[in-house]
Amino acid sequence: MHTNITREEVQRVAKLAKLRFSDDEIDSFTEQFNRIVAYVEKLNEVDCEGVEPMARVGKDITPPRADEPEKMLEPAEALKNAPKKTEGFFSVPKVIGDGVE
Amino acid sequence: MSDTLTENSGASLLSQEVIDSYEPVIGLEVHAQLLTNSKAFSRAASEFGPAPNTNTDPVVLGHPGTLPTVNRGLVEMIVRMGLATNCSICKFSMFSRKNYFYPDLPKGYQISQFEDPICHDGWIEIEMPDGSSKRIGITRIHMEEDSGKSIHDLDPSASLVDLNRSGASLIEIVSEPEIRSSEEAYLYLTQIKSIVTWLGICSGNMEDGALRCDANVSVRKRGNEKFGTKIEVKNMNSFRGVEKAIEYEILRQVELIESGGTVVQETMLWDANLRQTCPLRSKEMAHDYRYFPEPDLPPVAITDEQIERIRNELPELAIARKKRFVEEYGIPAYDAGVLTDSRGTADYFEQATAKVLTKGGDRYKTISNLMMTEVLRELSERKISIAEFPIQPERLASLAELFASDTISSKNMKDIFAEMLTSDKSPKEISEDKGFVQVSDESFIEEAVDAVIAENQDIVERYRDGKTNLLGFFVGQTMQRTKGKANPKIVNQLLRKKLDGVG
Repeated sequence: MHTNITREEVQRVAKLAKLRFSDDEIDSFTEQFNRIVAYVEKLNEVDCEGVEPMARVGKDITPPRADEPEKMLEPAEALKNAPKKTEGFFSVPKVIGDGVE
Repeated sequence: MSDTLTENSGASLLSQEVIDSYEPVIGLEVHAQLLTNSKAFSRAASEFGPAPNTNTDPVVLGHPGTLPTVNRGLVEMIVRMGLATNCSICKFSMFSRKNYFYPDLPKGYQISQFEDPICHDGWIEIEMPDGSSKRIGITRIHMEEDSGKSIHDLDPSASLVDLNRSGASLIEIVSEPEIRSSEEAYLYLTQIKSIVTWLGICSGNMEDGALRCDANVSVRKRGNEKFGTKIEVKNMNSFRGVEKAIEYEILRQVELIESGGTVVQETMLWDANLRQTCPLRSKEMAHDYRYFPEPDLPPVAITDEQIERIRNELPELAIARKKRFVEEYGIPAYDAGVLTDSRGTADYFEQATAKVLTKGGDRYKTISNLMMTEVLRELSERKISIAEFPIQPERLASLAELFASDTISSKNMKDIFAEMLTSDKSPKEISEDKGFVQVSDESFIEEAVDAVIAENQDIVERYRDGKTNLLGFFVGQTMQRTKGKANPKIVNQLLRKKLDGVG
């Protein structure tokens, strides 16, 4: 079974990633995406019946760390890379609405 | 019932009958900010309220090359919450990335949980106004990190970002769509607040955002199995606000359907000033979060031993304690409800009852009365918590005992209470200093009663002619003669006997 990636899908992914491309670049990515997917689709030939989905290699678990605060950055240090700052805040282009999900 | 066709702002044009033919279906998503000392995935401090951008580190700022670590406090607290809400606990629980761009989320994704939340398939009980209880299912409770705060009204040309809250420990509690009215939603939410505060894992304040609630609301014709299209309602910042917003949204949907319209899935914001919900201009593809397993964090593992330890450490929760107070101490359900409103007052009550020397319902009721009136009033006037209250529970118990053993009057009790706020003396000492000790000795009281009757023969005659409300006069005179020490109950009994009995 061959999945076909459309130009629209590439544009959508670009938009989600906040990236802008020329029409030529979109064409080129569409072609490349299709080649990548076709390559990965080879995996469909493997019989995975009864195999648990795996998100990572190895059986590591996260060792939890103590709930103790550590030394933090000085506000001035934290803001050092900010292109714009106002009175201790990062200043960004105006956005409306709450980003809390 | 007939349709009301008159224009009436705020009220529906539909009859109650039509409105009642629809059944609301409500599910709540509650975010609770945990009281961990450090953040969910980094060791920056989690305290709130300092100057902007003081609680940051390279992880919080999303600098390249930084790696998250999982806070043990977060895991312990969410398991506590899961067990308290009868959830199953996942022994291996994975984190996922939820991708979206927003300035207060520097990494461009939020670490959350998607496929296997650590707590799932639980339930809580809510107490209905008629005293019955209803079970509401909990679909899942998962761990995630909070975002920072964007401030839009300080600078006219820019949004300002404070990352103090960014990365703070957060849990999301998702209910089953089993809530059937705005009132049930309110009761569910206050119950969640009660549980998180009793567990000591969240302050439970909605006003400052420590507890946040979004509601999924739909309506369907009663008898229909199929759910209607749901609307997500956001931006409620008080418990009553949640109730009002849902109430409004139910009516809006019923009116829309009744007028031939169709509910379209969207997000609405509650405007507390306008008291209505308004559509949020839907950001295109806003809900395409492209979750995928968090590559930087292996799963969290929790053992049976850890789960059992946490289960054994769980406190008795408010709803169970309220029932027990009624059974064990014989106090009214109303009293038990007030006393178990916070863990602190419930603990105080039990510390006091434990110190009562002569056990008995009258003692417990007196302690309860003192707490509900005097103590709670002092706490609210002084804006202090019960932990800071100057009178220790055992002292309140001995005051209650003085009263319940008829040694002092209720007025005396209040005066002594006022004195105890600033004095370390025992209630008995204060009572003696003030000469309060109430006398119940009948021969002593009878002497005074006889003297009052003898001195006021004219009034005795008027009383016997039918002016029985003059009894109060005799009581007052007798109390004056005994300098307020006579037990008013006995004074009343003796006066009635002598005034009514003779003649």
